[in-house]
Amino acid sequence: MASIRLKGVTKSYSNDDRQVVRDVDLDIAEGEFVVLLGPSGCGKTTTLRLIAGLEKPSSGTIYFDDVVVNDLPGSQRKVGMVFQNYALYPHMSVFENLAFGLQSRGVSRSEASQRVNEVLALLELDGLQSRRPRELSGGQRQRVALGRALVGRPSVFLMDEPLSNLDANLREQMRIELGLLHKRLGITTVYVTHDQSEAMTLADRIVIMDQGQIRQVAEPSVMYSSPIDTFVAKFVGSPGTNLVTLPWLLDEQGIACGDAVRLPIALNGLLLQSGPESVVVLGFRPERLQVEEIEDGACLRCIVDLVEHLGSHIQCHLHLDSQVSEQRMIAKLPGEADIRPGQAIRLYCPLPDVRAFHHESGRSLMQGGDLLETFPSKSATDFVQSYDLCADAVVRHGNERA
Amino acid sequence: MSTAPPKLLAPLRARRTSEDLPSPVAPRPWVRWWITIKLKLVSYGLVLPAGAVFLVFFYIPAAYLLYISFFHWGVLSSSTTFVGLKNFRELFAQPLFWRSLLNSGYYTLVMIPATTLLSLGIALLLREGMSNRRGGFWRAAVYLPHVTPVVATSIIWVWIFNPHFGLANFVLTSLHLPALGWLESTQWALPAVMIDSLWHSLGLYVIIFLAGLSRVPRELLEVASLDGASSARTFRRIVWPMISPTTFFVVVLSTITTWQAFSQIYTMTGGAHGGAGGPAFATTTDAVLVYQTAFQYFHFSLAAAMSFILFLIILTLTLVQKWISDRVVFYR
Repeated sequence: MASIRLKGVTKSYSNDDRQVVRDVDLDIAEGEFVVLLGPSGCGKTTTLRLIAGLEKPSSGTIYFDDVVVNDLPGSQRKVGMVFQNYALYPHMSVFENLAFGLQSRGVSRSEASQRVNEVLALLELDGLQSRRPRELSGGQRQRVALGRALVGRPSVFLMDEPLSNLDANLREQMRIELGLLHKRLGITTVYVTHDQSEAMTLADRIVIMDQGQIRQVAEPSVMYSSPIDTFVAKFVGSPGTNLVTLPWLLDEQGIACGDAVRLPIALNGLLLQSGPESVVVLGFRPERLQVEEIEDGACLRCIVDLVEHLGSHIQCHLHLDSQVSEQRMIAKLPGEADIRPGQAIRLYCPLPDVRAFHHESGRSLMQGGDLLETFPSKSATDFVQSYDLCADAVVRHGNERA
Repeated sequence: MSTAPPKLLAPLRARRTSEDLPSPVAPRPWVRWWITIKLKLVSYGLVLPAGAVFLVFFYIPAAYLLYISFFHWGVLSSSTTFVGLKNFRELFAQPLFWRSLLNSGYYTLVMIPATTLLSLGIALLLREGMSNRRGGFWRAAVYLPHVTPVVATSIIWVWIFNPHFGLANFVLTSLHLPALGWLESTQWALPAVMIDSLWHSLGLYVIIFLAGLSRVPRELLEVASLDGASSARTFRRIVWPMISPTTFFVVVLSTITTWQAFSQIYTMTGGAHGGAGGPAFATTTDAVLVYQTAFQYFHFSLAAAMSFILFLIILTLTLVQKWISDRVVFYR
């Protein structure tokens, strides 16, 4: 097993100025299961290939266990890699596919065959030794590819979207098997995917990438509850967080965001960090919106555009009932809710589930992510000082409105 | 993977059959028969243009050729008499015929491995540049000779192989090698023709091999490199088996074209002056002899018999190659 460290790693290709991977810093602990998640073209596969030694970084350093491996070819890094399309040698039998690497490394015939049989037994592939890849089912091919990566006893396991060629049922089954395999073998694993459910279920930590850069590294639950910026908030979850950009000001009843969203006064101090323009990006998770009125929470006035019945719940596509902005939103509501297109409704979001982001940088306004951590008390009286502080902004805002 | 027990699927299958669901338009037997006929007519109609070309220019002449070979055939006179296998007997008694087979065999035996290995080698060199402009230049450069007219370039090669002031001997002497007689020597005339043929045909095979190499997925090579395989081992165990259909195709194609090689031999050995196949029959291959027999000595039936034997030889070779390939070539 090995730990991996990437320091300031950048990759660009000679015939193109674009940096595919930009200044990536990442620490992967021994035995950890790390998932690189991001939209296509975000540089996650390139990062994996850099770790595998299939690409050389343009700058920066890659360490395996504190040893610089920049100039070490992939074969000497002790990595096992699984490709999206399996990349099995089509003209070789299952046995030969697994034994090829061992024989290339000079492992004796008898030992190689013993190790291959061990791995085949581990992956429940015994009996298929002499089959060619095309005579196998998708799931079996997938397992052979896993086996080929395992048989060399790698200290690092790299997987590039290994499940995306399987149908939905099989994908779920293989996902569970992969999780179990990792528990059993404890090999440091870097896993690339664009599928959140794989990332959420498999990862010890998720790395979210966009445009060649790392956006956030966090445990799955933290990634969901405390997105560091609007990109992560939008990307994680299905559907992702609803983001609405609105001007805000204090009035007698609390905080008014545009003319369609009201927030409790408790959020005042938080919103003050959004800068002098008094514009804020608010994030509401679709599954945290509700129709039942709550005292201490955000309230949104919306008009329903479309209702999708999904059995367990309904998915409402709506837009803010506002003169300022008609931003589109999605809400996941209980299946029994009686909502029809064209209807004007009020949605509520509990205070701890409201997220706020800086409207220019997109960064979260919550340090540590949790609102209650940032503001331990929900009582309005604690915010009298902050109320004074923002008086200027409010006055100016009021003047602009008038 | 496991299949559902047939019992579960049985009701589903039963529901699908047309007996249960009365189709709104139940075609009567003669309608069905008419549809089948119409489909067949359309299919054959579509094949007809290409088929007609083949029939008129290939199958009919080939059959006619076999027919001619059993006759004594005069071009101008009407004295066409059936002679049975006499032409073939005459042919086998002729030492020059055997000599021409020997020449053709020698020519083919050198040309096939040379063509295959050289073009594969060049293709491997060019593979790296498949996607960039410089690679495009070299690909074009290698392919260019193939689009030039054989006769014109062969005349240039005659000059190159001129023993007294040709480029070939100039290169040899500047490398301190002995100058050769080339087309004027019985020993080197055929090799000189081979060099010209290689130069002319290589481009085509390089392109074919490049196409074959591009079908080897990049991931396979990457996996092999992660598996610690050397480039020689990767080539031997992965690339070579995976391009074997291409190699087989190249071998068959080059076998056929070399057995039929005529224009370059005819031009380079003085066909324009009536003396093709020289010196001293050193370059008289099958194809040259067929031409001379037919169009210089006007012995058409003998030439037809010869052509037929040439056809049998090529057919046999191809069948042998096919037989080998079925055991060696890997098709995905």
